[in-house]
Amino acid sequence: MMVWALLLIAIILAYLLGLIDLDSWLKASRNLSVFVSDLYIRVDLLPDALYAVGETFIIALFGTVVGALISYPISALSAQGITSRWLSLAIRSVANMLRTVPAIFWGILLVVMFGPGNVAGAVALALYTAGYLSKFFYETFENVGKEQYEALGSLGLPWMVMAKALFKHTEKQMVSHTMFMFEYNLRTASILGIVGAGGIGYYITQYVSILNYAAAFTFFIVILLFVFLVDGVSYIIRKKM
Amino acid sequence: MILQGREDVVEGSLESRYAVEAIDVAYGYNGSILFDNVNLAIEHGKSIAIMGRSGSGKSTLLRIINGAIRPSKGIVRILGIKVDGRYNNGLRKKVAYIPQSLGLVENATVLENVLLAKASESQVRALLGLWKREYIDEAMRILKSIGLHEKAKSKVNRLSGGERQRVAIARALMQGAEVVLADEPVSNLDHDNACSILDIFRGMSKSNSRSSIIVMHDKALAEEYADEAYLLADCRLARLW
Repeated sequence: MMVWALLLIAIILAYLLGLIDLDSWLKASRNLSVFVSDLYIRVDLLPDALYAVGETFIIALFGTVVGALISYPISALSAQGITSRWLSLAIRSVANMLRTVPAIFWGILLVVMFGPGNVAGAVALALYTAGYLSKFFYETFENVGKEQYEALGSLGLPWMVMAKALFKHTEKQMVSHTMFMFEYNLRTASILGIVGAGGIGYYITQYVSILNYAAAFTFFIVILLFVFLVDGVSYIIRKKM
Repeated sequence: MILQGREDVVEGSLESRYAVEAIDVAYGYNGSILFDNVNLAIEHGKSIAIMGRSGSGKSTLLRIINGAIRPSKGIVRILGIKVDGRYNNGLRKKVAYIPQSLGLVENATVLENVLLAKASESQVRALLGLWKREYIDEAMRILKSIGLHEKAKSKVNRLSGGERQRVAIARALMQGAEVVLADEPVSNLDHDNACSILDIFRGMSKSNSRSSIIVMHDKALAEEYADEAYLLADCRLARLW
């Protein structure tokens, strides 16, 4: 019953969106065949593509490292059990605000502030990462059993030392979250160029705009392989932890 | 009330007749009573065993004594000071709480875990991990007394159950606690290890006038090691010997 209802809704929405139109599908197929015929690797552009990947890597790494540094105190102040409920709620609102604004919007804002380029992308990712990792971190703190809080609390630890002890206690999860965020940031840094915030996305957008699909494809394939490589290395490291 | 509070603070010392007093303590939730009319008066230097079936409220009683939970009714005093969930740091240090999970910082070393007991006295050093030489010497002395000095640099997550239990006890000793509350410290250990851990508790009580309240299941072990034993059953705490 549920499946039939979903199918009916899908057909109605497809009609409203103009997707039930044979002519537009035929036109799309012709465009695709032209596009695919242009897709090949331009070996002469590989050095430029690798340079762009390097830029993207640095943007993602900066965003992750600085975002993680910002999220340490934010998460320590956000976790109930370390600080008071009200302070925790106030600090969480700041983290929520950072996280709610998508990275691409941070990118637009920072391009306005700093002008187009890598700086805008790197700062945008740092802010977004701070919001996300704060949430991951304080949730990790809060998943530590209440016995842990009571045992450490009975030592009379000040909140900063308590936070340090909890970071150490949950070190593996923290590193795992940070590596996950780095993988995510690498993908996001690849598209921030669409709004002028640097990275390989900037080059791909430029090539697409002049219909040089082979060049765009070359850059695309290089970043794709690099993301696969980073995902693999990250997976192996997390597995060994 | 204020005068009474001041009186309590003056009273709060080893001069107090009892290390731990519970007067007509009750605890319940959702309309049901876990235990009622619990009375305890534990003298300095005594080892107390609290026994009872799972779910009888032994751990809850221990957490009430530690100040982590407020009783529904009644008063708990430690060293003459009323425990009301916000007792001062001076008293906080006099009570060590060892939960079933031990409350150790998993990715830290044995030595770091023990030194944490001195963190409130040297916050900046604790944050930077630059401990005073006298604290390190004291920690090593304590670790030697319980046979763990050779594992001082090992991470606690690489230790056996018995060794982890010893680290928790070492931290309580480092804390300078006059009252040690331990929730089932020997339940997961083999007989030899259990005896050796209880020997440490007994030694602590006899040589330093520390009082310990130990939740345990094994009556034979309790008979061997506890000065007094109580049974928590049918919502009441009854003295066995």
